[in-house]
Amino acid sequence: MAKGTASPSRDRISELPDDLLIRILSFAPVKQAASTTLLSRRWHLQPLWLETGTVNIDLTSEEFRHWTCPWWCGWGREGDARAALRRRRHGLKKLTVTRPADRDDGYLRSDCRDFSWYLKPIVFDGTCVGLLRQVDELRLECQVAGGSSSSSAASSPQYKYKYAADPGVEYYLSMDKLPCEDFRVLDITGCCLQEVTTAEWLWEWDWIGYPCLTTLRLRRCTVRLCDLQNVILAGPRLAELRLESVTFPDRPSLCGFIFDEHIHLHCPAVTSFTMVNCHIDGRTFELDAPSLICFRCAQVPSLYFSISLKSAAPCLAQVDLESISGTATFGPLLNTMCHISILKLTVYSIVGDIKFGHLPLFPNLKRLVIEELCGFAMDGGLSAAATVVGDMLRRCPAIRELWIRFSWLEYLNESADDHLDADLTAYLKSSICRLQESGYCNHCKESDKPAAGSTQNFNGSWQSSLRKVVIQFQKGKLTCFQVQLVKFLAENASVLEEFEIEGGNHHGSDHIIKSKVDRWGAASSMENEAPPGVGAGDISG
Amino acid sequence: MAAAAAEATTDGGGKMIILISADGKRFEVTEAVASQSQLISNMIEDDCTENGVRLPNVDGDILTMVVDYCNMHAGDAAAAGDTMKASSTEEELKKFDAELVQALENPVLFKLILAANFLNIKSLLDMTCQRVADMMSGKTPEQMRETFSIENDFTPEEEAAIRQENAWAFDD
Repeated sequence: MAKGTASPSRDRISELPDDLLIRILSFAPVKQAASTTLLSRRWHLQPLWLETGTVNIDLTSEEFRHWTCPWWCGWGREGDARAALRRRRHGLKKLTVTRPADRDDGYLRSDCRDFSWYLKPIVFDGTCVGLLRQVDELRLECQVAGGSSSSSAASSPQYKYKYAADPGVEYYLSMDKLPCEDFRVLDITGCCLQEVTTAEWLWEWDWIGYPCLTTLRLRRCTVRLCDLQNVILAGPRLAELRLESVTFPDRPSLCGFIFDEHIHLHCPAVTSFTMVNCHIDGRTFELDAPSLICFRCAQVPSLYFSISLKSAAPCLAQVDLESISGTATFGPLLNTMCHISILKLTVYSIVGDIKFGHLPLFPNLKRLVIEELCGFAMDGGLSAAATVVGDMLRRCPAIRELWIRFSWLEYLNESADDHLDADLTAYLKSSICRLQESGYCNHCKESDKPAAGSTQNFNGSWQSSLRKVVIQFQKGKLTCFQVQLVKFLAENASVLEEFEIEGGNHHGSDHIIKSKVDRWGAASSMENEAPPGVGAGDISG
Repeated sequence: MAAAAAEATTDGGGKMIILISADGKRFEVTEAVASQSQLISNMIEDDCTENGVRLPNVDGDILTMVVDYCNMHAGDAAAAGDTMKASSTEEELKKFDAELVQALENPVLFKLILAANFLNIKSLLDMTCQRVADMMSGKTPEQMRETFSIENDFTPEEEAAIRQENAWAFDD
């Protein structure tokens, strides 16, 4: 694979400047990083790994395969690493522990599943009391059962439209066993967080346990909502909160933070909130985050799911919503977000799912991105998509950029149901527009007149503010609905400076549709601008 | 590839910048795409991109990759301080990135690291450095020497002494 050492093989890595080698070593497992001192004089002269301030412990690698109880044997090495680092000026700043899930086959004692064990000073041979003092970034990852063993971030496949894979055996992490004063970034994957609760009296005294914490990321974790709430409130500088495939096992009777079926999370300092496919199970999620600037929520369809902002977020600028069940889910949410400047919507079908009819104006919206996963027109004929988008644009008087992506191929590739797949694929193939350089495909032609007639209804100030339109689709395939939408935009946006069509096919259909766009745009501006009386023939001639 | 990248962004609007590689290849990109490079972003601020930006230590084939990468990641940088992916989804970008670095051969990978460092594109730099670290992962010093064609210039005695001083890193 990477053995590409061509015949006159040159030692290129040793030629890199120190700062780049330090950066590389900060990503490598600590054992390999430290053993680079043996490579050659250049590497020994100054042990660069000591400058990284990082210890990466990768328990997924071969050498740890056969351990059953890691803390009884061999951790002296990491203790030594830590001790060596401690003598340097940077000390230990970042600690990463990656652990495979698939190795656990039941003969481990249950306390062996406690991730906190891996962080205890005693595990590190007792050489470093207060192991985690001054560590400002802690990353713990328990990989998914059967997952790939590579530590590379890019290697784990991510499925966008499915819940995360079953984590297999879950590891526990007792938050109160972690010394927390110095953490700036906490990044935890595949753990069940426990015992974050603080004593009542501490709670009432505004206990600040995480004075430096700015970023908290949880992936495939289970955490009681009240515990999560305690961590958030104990971190007054927490600005970024990311919850991905997180399960909240709380039952209403167990925790005071749940009223009825509402989940309430108070995040006073959070500016960036992301929630992806969390297991909310029909409850209503209420976010109280007055400092919010960036909000992202992506949920695989959940019939009774809803999310809302409890308090106003006056600084909120960017919103990214993704739900296959459409904007209906997000309707109430969007109502409270009219002052945003960037909005991205990912929906199953533009026609079926975007219902903006009841929403107020978005006076500050500058950029609108719509991603359609499966290009269907449920009803309303060929101009339906244009109608919906036009209706939406009317609510965005200051819009500058409109991006529309059609990505049904990706969606179908990940879709679970093969039969449905085949049906959808066949249907979509049959509706591909056969647009030619010289004219419309027959299907489009029939609907051309009604589409032109209906455009009059969508006049609005967006027409004189929209500067840039980008249409992205795959493999040079557009359906007639989509072609009608492109035509609508080309005809109606009167001050457009840029109209990009990206279909991954620079010579075929991209070209055809581009030339069409030019013609539609020109035709409509002639219609609009030529004063009555002056013959249009003069201009075109 | 390079031609395609330039073509996709020349449709009027958005100020264009010309990047010129060491071997004289020219790449036309939008300001938004180019300013993912902190170096070029600073030059744009200082208004000195008028006659094209010469990059005397980046070869054309490497710059092609960098431009592809920047085009792919352009959406997020389009609005100042924007951390949200606009033009491509997060997952899609990850896939693109993974394919980009997986395919690289040793010499190209290191040239790309140097280019990313020179142009100051943090995400590309981290990604390529991660790739080299992955190539080290699980290897003995001997295997690392072989992977990276590093010549062992120690005497046997020196090597033994080093093994002694950091024994924990070398035991198996």
